[in-house]
Amino acid sequence: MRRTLCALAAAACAGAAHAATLAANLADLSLEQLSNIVVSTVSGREEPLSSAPASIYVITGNDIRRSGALSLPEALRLAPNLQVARVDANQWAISARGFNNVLANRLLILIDGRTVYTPLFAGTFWEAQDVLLEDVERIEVISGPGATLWGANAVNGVINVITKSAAATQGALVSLGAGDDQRDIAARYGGEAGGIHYRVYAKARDRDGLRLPGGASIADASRFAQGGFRADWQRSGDAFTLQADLHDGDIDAGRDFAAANVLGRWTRALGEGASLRTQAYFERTTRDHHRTFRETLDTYDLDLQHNLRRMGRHRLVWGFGLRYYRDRVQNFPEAGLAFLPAHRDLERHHLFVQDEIALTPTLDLTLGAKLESNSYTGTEFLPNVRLAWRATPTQFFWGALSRAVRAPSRIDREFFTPAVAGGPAFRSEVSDVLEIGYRAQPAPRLSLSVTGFLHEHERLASVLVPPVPATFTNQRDGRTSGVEAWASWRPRDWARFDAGIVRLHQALRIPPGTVDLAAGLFERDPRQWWKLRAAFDLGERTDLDVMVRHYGALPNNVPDYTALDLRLGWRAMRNVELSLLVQNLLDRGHVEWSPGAELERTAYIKLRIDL
Amino acid sequence: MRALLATLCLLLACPAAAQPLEHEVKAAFLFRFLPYVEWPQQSFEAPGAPLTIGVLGAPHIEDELRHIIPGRTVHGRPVVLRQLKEGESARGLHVLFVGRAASERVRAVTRLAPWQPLLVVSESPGALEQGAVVNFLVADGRVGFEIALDEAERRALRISSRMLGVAVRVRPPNS
Repeated sequence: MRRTLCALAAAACAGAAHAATLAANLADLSLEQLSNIVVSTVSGREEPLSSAPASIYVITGNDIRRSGALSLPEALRLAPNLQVARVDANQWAISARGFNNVLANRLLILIDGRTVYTPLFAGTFWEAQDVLLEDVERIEVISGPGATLWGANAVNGVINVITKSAAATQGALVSLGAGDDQRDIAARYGGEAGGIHYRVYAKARDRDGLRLPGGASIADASRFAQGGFRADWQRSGDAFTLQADLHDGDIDAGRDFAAANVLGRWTRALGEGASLRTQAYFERTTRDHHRTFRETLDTYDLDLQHNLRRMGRHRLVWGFGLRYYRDRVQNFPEAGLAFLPAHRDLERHHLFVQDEIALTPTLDLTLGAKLESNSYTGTEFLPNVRLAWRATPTQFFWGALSRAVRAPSRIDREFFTPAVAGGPAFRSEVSDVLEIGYRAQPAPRLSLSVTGFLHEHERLASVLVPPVPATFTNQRDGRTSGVEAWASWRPRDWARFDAGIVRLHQALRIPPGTVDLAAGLFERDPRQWWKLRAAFDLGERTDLDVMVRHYGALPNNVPDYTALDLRLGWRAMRNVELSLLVQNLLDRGHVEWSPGAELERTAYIKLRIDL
Repeated sequence: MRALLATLCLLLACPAAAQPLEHEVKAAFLFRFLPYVEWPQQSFEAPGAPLTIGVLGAPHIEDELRHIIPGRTVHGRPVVLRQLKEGESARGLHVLFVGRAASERVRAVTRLAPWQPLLVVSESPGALEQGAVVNFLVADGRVGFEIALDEAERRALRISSRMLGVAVRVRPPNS
């Protein structure tokens, strides 16, 4: 250990001189040569401080590549403010600020503006969500109630997956991977015709099933395939995008699912910083849980957002959205559960306005209000106030007070089993949230962010007895508080360290004289977790990334664990990359969730060719 | 585990060529623009008077420029760097770089000195509409730039066609 520290100190002295030489050398290049340089995307951390008054972490496409993530949930592990637990081969429990469960219903997840969740459970089936990770531009992870721009169900956070524009993914890409548990193949082709940039992609995956800690098989081997396209074009101040995807998957344990979607977006620059964005999409998803239920869900969505030009101190944004769901469920009586009525049309609309007021050149006050209406509880009012203070060019303070709401889903109201039933009077869960944050860049190569949060909950979902039979009611309340902190340090141009920690404290209450049937069902949260990542550029061709994470114990007898993943990437030629990913290097096996699979040490090799 | 640490120890002592950072490339670009821009003779007090670059709201690019300019000349003139504070005038500058941290100031700055032969360079989307002459864009990992030729002409700056050719976008005069 001491030798490592000595080497670090010596290298630190050499650093300053090295930086000067690099700058001078770049200035000897021609304009054409400078245009061709691919800049390190690590520089994202070194730019002037983000002035977003929210707890936001951005996972870049380069971070995803270097981490070796094989799926969207694995990519989300990189965000320090997310609790990501692998349940089995295909299922994940992901949340921010607590209330994690397999169908975490307090997170809003968007892929290119399309909401990815099912109104059946107001949650996300992670097993069915996938993107071509090589074409992801960035993933914005906001913990805490998304600002006015996001809606109900963005109570604990927003995950916004943004793929690269078609113009940025030109040419062909082929990727092949094989490992102990999984095999993948993916291809993408991007081209340009008549001023329109487009890309088409397809990917397929075959996964082995995992086992419970005792050795019993979960029988969750799966196969999954997805394909789609994206086209972008621009004409003076207008930008258009059209994209579509379809996927099909099945899991041995008795689940099949498929979906198709098409989305169109039109953004118009109105001059002087104003813009208008309109988006519409349609999605059909089908899900078949053998002999339990079958569902076909059609979603129609129209969304508009208007950013007005700055008027004096004010910058206004307003917008509205219309969404219709057509949900058709086929119940199986022998399953012992049913959604009644089987067929349901649901609506969810919103209208919002937000004003960002520049009180002084360094102090902004944002006032926002959103009206959301849903088929169950009518209209909800979601106000929020945010203050953002750029104290110095490298220090930024922010505070936010918001009211967030988790509207009922079908399972809360219309789900029936002999023991527990959805309640017709189930109301929205409400959280009033106070957050304070600080973001700083104390040195050019060091940035950090700290957020303290306090969530006061009311009308939390509960299943209590008495009365019998039990129904879903809103009789719990309580408080979640904690701290999120992360830092990024780049001591050398070729070495970067990221660290993050979250501490969480939940105190939930039930009325006296009742028993909580669902104890531990709606949420399973550790007291803390921390994540470390070290990224090294070893020479021009080689990348090494080491990722360590530790989660505290979960309330239902899941012990705390520490896991180490390692990825070594080698650019054999300019456009050919070979990589080795080893997950759970230190372990012979650990569980992240219960009931859940034992996750063992696995290796995976991937070949990526860009043509 | 110890073997891994030892290997890292050796590696840490040996710096490797890595990809440059965005602000390093922008600083190099800014310096490399200068030979392709012609200022009217009245902008300089004397034939050997220095070319002055002002930087507002971009501490990293300022640092990079400090490493670049010593000992170099442009059009036979030495180059001098000046950090601009909020509210300070752009008088005496030939080039002004307005960084992202001060992106809202582009319009104010260009309004205060509308006729000064000042090469206003920025790095925020839409800055050309705010009055900048050159604006950096980053796309697909590469730094590019767009030029408002009408604004350059208005300020009596002449930009060589060589530089126009490398630009991602050029807004023509009389647009």
